Amino acid sequence: MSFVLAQFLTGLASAASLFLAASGLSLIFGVSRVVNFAHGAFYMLGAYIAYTLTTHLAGSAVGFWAAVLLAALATAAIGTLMEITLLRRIYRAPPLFQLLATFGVALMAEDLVLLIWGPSDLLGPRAPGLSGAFHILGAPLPRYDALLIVVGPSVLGLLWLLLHRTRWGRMLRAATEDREMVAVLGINQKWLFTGAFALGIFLAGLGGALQIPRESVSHDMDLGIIVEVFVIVVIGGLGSIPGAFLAALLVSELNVFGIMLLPTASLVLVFAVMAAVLILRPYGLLGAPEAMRAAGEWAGRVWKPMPRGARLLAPAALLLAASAPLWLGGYALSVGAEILIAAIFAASLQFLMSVGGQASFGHAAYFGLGAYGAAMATAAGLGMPASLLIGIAASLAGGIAFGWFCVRLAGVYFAMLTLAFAQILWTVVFQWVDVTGGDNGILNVWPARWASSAAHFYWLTLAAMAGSVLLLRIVAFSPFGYALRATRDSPLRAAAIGIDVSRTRWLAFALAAAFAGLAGALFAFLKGSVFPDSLGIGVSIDGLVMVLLGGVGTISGAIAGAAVYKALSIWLMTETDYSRLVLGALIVVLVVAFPRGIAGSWQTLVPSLRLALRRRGALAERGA
Amino acid sequence: MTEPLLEVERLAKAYQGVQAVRGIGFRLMPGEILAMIGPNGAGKSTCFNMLSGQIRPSAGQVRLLGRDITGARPAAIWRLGAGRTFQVTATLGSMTVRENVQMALLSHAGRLWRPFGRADAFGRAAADAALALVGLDEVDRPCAELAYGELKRLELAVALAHAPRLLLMDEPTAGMAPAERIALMATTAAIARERRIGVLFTEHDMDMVFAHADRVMVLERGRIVADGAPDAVRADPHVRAIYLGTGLAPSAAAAP
Repeated sequence: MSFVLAQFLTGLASAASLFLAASGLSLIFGVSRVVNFAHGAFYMLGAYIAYTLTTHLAGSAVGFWAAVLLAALATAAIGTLMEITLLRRIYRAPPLFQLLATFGVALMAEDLVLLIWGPSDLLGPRAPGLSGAFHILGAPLPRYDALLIVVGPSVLGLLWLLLHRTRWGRMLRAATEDREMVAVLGINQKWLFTGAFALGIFLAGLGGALQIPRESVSHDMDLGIIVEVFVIVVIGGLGSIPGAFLAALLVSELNVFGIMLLPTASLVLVFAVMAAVLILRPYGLLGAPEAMRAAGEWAGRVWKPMPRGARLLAPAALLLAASAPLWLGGYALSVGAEILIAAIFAASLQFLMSVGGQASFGHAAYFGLGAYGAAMATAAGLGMPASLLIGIAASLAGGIAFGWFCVRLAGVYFAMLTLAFAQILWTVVFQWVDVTGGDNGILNVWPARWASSAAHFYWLTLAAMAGSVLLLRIVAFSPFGYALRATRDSPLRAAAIGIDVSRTRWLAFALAAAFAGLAGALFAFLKGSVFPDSLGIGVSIDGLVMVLLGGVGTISGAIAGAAVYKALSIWLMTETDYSRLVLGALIVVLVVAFPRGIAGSWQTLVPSLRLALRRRGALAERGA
Repeated sequence: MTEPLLEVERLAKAYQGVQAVRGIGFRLMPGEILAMIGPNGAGKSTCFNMLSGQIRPSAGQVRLLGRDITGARPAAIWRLGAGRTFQVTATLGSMTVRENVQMALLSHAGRLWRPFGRADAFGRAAADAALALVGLDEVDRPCAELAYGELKRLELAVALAHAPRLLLMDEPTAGMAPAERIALMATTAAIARERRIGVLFTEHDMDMVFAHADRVMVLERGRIVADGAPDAVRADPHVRAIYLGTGLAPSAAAAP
């Protein structure tokens, strides 16, 4: 009994930092509608800065707490700098571009932290005067944990006072509920956004700083926390601070008791609960239906099929790509094949995002299902063509099963539910060692003899890529593709002309999953193995980055995005130890320079260049 | 006697204790133009959205052409022959004017699941004809470029595309210029009479209501308080009391 109580109290204490980080994320999202992917990085930064400051100041209790507070303030200052210098430039860019930018920042932070503090885990000092433990009904409760249990509700109370009893807080709440109205009322939105970021990132930094007496500081703590914080914010309801508090408690207790009750499936538990909450209460425990509708953000651009020039260019580019084995070596060809596979994956996500308006944060699930399906089929003795088909079938089945739940949601909630399913799948693969090999993966997934040479495998992936992109284009311009776009433009109108909105989205989801599965299956044969990474969050994010870099409104963009991003990341990996720093910086620069993506910017650049040239020609004629 | 097109019985909707619509009933005949009026918050939009399937009723029954459509989904109700327009226009913003109508035609032809062939090649002539009927001839313009009045007309063309038997129009002329309003309602009335389409519309402009409706129904706090010929409704003292100073009174006073 006292053991259960001790576990329960540990869960309460862990909830404090989670709540702090989650309330910050919720606040930022509520006011600015930016999904701050760098939130975990700021949490980590708060912990690192607190480590350095406390080791210098921890002589006294005052020094320790001053250090924690200073660390949070310093983190907030860095976050504010990010908002002013980076995000302010791109608030008008398409949705999710801010996410891409903050993802770039998060990547940079990971390497910067390595550069400054080194790779080893750091153990911070204990809080002075709080090293012992209380005993409650025989259950030991570390004094520091007792403090954290008090900190959570206190911060909740302070935030409530701030949001309800101050003018600035009321403005924040008003902006969360109706941004346009706030703008009409003449409130300076720029500084309101900056303020929300400063406060939100302060909370993240404080959450990280408060954790140092409990756990060691490491350079990969950001990814773990960001996923958990996303889950909390979604369970609690986006923009709801009390919701974040409830959800933080729930998730912490699930973590603690999950390990006790279901040691083999503990990781699944949290995501299963999140999926259940989203299915039963689509806007989270205490959230309100999202005021923001996505329609306006997509509308306005009429789709046209490729201009004739591009239609001639495409076969030429394909021929050039097909001739690569004549002038490239084996290694370069395998890199080429990897890029082509990434292009298939990106094109499948692109279809879902640009035609369907559904930004999946868990598209890796279907890539991984394809990879594992193919690998397991090969391990069972099937040939390569059959294994590829089984990979695709596995992804299709996954897309049909998960898609049924996901397509009922929209916007950020859709993104988060897809993420939850992907994480569930990842944990299943990771923990179910008997079937999937767990962390050791599945080895010896080699292609058939006819496809085993570098050139042949390259050609196979090239054909698969060209075929996939062509098929997706045909679908995009077909009646089904138009119906899908109608559900994106206006679900209300779509339903009022007899389009079955959910089913249309469901089919599109399954289709995108199947193409992602093809990419995954090919990837398994390219590498000769599969590991749980292939359905990890990293692959999902890669997909999003490639699509957004390529430009959301263009189907061809996925190829450009995949080529640039994959080539860069593979090249950087070989050239520098700090590839994430360079890649992150590049993403940030690209987002600011091309707020419509590479291909999207190209499409606007070419006509305006032409116009400028024509004008100059006309002027020159007049001058002569 | 002809069969009624739409039959509504004891239709009600409660939102967490608030009774928005409290058991209303009425019938609409083919070719009849019925206006539903009432002050803001009377339950007009809720009633509309229950008829076209956007909102599930709490109680009551709706029959379209004798078939029970209570709580059916919007797509199913559309397939049974009910077109509708929205108070705030809902159009497909990334498509051209023609493509908006083509989508309704594709849906009517049951071709929405085809993953091949060009969607914008289907039924061009029929789409252009439907658009010409409402006075839109720049069919290749992006829908997002249209002025508000043009969007309202596009919605009408889309709603009429599958030759519906029932047309539901929620404030069809709100936000339009006076000359445009008259033209739009005149077009609607002419099409409805010619094709024997039953029209149910809500409207705040009483001139529009009394110029085009065959019958007027007045909603107040979720109940029908008057239902009859326009002149009779206009003379009703209770209706006059509801509308005193909100538009009905002056135009009623101005009438001979």
